[in-house]
Amino acid sequence: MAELTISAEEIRTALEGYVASYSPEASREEVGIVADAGDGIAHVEGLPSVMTNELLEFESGTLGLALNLDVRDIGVVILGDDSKIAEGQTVKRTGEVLSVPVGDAFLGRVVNPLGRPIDGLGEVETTARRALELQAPSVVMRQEVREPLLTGIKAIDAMTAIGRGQRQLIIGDRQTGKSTVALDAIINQRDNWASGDPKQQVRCIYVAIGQKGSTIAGARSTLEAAGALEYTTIVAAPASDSAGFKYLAPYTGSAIGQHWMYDGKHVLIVFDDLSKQAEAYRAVSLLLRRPPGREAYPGDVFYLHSRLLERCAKLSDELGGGSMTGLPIIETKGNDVSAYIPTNVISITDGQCFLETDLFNAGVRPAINVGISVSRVGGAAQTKAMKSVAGRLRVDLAQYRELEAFAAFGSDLDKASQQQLRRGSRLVELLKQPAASPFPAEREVVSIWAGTTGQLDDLEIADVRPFEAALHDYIAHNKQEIFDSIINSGRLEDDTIDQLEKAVAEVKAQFVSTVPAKASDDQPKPRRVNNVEAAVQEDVK
Amino acid sequence: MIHAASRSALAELRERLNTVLPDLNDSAFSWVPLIGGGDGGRHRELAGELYAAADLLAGQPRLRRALGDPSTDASSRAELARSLFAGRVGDVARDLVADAVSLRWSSPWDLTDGLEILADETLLAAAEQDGQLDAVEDELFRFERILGNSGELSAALDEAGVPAERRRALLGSLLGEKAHPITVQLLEHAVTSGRRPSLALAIDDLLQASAARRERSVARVLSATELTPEQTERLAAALTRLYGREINVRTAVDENVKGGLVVRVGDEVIDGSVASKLAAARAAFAG
Repeated sequence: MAELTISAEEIRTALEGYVASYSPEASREEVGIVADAGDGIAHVEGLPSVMTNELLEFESGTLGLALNLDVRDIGVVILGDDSKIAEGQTVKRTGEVLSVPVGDAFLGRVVNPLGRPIDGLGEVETTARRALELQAPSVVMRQEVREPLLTGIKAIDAMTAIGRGQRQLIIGDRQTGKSTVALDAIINQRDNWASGDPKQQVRCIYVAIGQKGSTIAGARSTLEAAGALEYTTIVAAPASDSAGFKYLAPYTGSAIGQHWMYDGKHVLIVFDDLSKQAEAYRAVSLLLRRPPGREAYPGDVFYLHSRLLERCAKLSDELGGGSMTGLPIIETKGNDVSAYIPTNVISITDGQCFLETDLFNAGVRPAINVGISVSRVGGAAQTKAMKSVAGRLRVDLAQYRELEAFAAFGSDLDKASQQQLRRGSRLVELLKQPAASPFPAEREVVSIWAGTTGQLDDLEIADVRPFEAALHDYIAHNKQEIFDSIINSGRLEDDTIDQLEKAVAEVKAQFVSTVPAKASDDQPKPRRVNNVEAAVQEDVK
Repeated sequence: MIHAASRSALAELRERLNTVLPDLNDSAFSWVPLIGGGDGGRHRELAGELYAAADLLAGQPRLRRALGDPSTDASSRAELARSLFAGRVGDVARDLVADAVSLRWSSPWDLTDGLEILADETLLAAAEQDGQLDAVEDELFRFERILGNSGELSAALDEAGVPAERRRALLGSLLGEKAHPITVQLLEHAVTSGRRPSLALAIDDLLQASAARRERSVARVLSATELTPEQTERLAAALTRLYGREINVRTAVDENVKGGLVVRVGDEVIDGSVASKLAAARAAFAG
């Protein structure tokens, strides 16, 4: 039998002829055919050269995202209206891996996950584009988190401080003020923006995923009313959008932010919320027939969030020292932080603020549970002044919570315990803060100092916040040098403390209690707190 | 093809093919023009028609799904196939396609695959009839080795983005007159078929089909130097004893083996090469 032998020389000649005879035809275009479509998913046959994450164009002009590249067909997520897509229609490649336009023109705008404006203010004029799926900065490209990113919320800045480049999770049940915390953090960047100093300025991105349209409009008007919209971009994928959009929205926001970060600027990005994104991704994955895992989420749902959050970073000085701070939000059910998605995201992030329904209903707003909330890296980013006054705060509050449970049974308490209850209840009162009213850093320091050093212990609880306001006003009008010293040195010097003590004494001398003689009767507070307070009052008498 | 329905449909279709094939040599089909004389011209004609039918189904999703939809009436599906292919392909091919369509397949793609497998079998049967099966099998094995040694060539042949005709032309320029026409026809279809992601895997399937036809298994042997016929024979005898069935030994020379033999039977590898022993020794020292 004649043996089949083909020499290397022959192969080379044949391949050369093969390559040489290739003439690219401009008109040649690969087309595929829709094999089936439904539920926001289409399967397309043909298009052998399609790339993963490439945008495809359907006959109706709707775009699709090639997610599953199978042997014989492509699983496509339809981005937009899928009602006009039918079996047998042709599908064209765009040759474009999913990317979004980026740039400063996005500030103040509301865009969809493809970067197209949806606020009716005309086109976003920008030339740069950025791919959605780019690897996060590597180890050598980063540096540790050291600069503070102040949220203007006393409880967070004092106990779970956030640094620039940190990922701090905001987690809690529905209606516990998660979005409010994030929006307050954005609003608090207004002074930084007004300073015009690029080292201070923080560009903000608010990614709204699966929320009601009215909620997103509400968030926008809150930001606008607070003057925060001019440095904020809103990426909106409302509940009515297809699952594909909701899955993509965080990456779009992240791409817009990374462009600024690699430009040496500071960025704050809020993902509100990632549980809805995980649900959208679950829907897409199940429809694409990827195998379901725990809670029917696909196997790569951890990677879905980890690759997103790893893109938040503090870059090294060689790369411009830009940063992107991430505030992912996760909604829990029944305060269960041990469910699948919450544990995933907790393990990815650098700390979490846990918001609780009970606290929220008890009037403690922001309803941060001090015990479970931590910040793993933020401490390094706190100013010396804040560190020196907030050191005892967490311990005091933890002891207070413990004693409070104990005192609820009405047992007799010794003097020290009564003192601790008194201090604790005033600290809790002090940490309450209405929405959209962030505090500047120096005022936070003064307030926390007053609370932890016991300056407020002899006030009625209802007087704590009026007194705090009076103290701030007094210092701002008469002792501005106290604020200036804290701002400029970043420390709380001994002579500043002396001045503060004098200021407190003077304000106390003028302060008129807002509480009538019989204080504890008409206080609009939950019974539990009243009981404790009453017990304390009783014992003091 | 992993689902039970498709597998039983394929088995039934094979039965049907086996009843048809002997008739191909009868005078009733003498109108079919002979291709290349006595090398199974009618078989190759039939296989070509079956390949064409499979390609048509692969390129037309709606037709494929209409014909492969098990929820519709089998006879009406067969009728549709018959009316579609009548006059365009020979009667035998038309009837086989109609038979295939009336069977129950797990998915429409399995119907397409079934037709392709049927065509492969037809060609292998033709080679067997001419006593050329061993030669064809050897050529397939040699070409698989050539692909394995030239990544550039296999990449060029597997590049799905390039039109099928160009890849087929490249294959033709390499094989030309060197290989048996049946080998060329098998490979020309395999290179464009989407059944397997690469040509090497498709050849693997063909080799298995060919060995199964002779109720044998194929042992692929790599050695550093050419084995003498006596050595090959001894190896075949030893492997036959080991596996308890006839083993076809296909040998190839690969200098990387350095010495000894690497034998692969199905998914099992017997590695007695000097190269792997050296690697093990290196690992032990590094260890």
